[in-house]
Amino acid sequence: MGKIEEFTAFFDDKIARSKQTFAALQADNRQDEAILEKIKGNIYDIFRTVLLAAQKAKSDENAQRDFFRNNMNNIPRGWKIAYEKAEKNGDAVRLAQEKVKLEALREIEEAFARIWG
Amino acid sequence: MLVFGGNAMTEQEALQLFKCLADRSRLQILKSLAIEDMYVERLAERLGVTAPTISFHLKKLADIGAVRSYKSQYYTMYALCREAFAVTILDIIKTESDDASLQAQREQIYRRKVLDSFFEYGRLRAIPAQRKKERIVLEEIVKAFAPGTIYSEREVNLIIADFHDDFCTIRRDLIAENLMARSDGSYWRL
Repeated sequence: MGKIEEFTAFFDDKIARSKQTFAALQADNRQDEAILEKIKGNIYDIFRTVLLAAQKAKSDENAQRDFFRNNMNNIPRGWKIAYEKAEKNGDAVRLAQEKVKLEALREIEEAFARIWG
Repeated sequence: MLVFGGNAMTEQEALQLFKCLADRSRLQILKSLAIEDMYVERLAERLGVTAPTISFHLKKLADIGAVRSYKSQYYTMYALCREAFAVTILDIIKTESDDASLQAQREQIYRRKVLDSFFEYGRLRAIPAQRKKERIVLEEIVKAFAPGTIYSEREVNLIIADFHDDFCTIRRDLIAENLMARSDGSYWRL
């Protein structure tokens, strides 16, 4: 299995698991936690799209890796700022939302390092 | 009078209350707090969810007046607002909403939406282009000025600068909207 396929499989698995968790939380009447899970699933989905875009835009595997890495560094900049702002202002609701995004990002970064390191 | 969290409960507040309570995790938190006051980590351990998620739910419960917090040594403890739950569901559904109070509620919701979209952590993101929205924003800013106090222009600028960098426009608009008055370089709230 190539690196792109392996990384795509990682995203497919995460998205499928997130959908399952979302449905379970909804069924358990935990709507807000379900929404947090949906946010997490959307983050995986965003980066799966970035991976697809890398495949389309670049033919060389190294160029695809650089394309993905650049986006992985650029896209979350606003999230980190939002997290710090929420933390500074004691905004527990926003903090939980931004934390979920950053946790998903950390998993993606780890998978990237493992697959493409 | 029907009361929740210390104030008369509007229909909108009743909806917020029901919406907030219709969540298993929040009900579990309330059940735990009904037994004893707890801090975030203890609740997280007890309910098997993360501490940030507990804080998230506690914020929502605090917003509707269902819980309150207090400091105890190193911990922020959370307690159930028992008096808030003294009201019965029958009391809530029997409360009548007249046209004037419904209109006031709609106005209140609109104001809240405008303030939420234009302010972020106390700072104004942008001066609204629409006059009605700008008026709401200015009414919020003018609260920073104590009634009956005379301010110099520099003091006015400094206070407004806490909200937005363009203090000149806001200062001028506060005067134009009759929220503040000016004479010989002195300013005061109307």
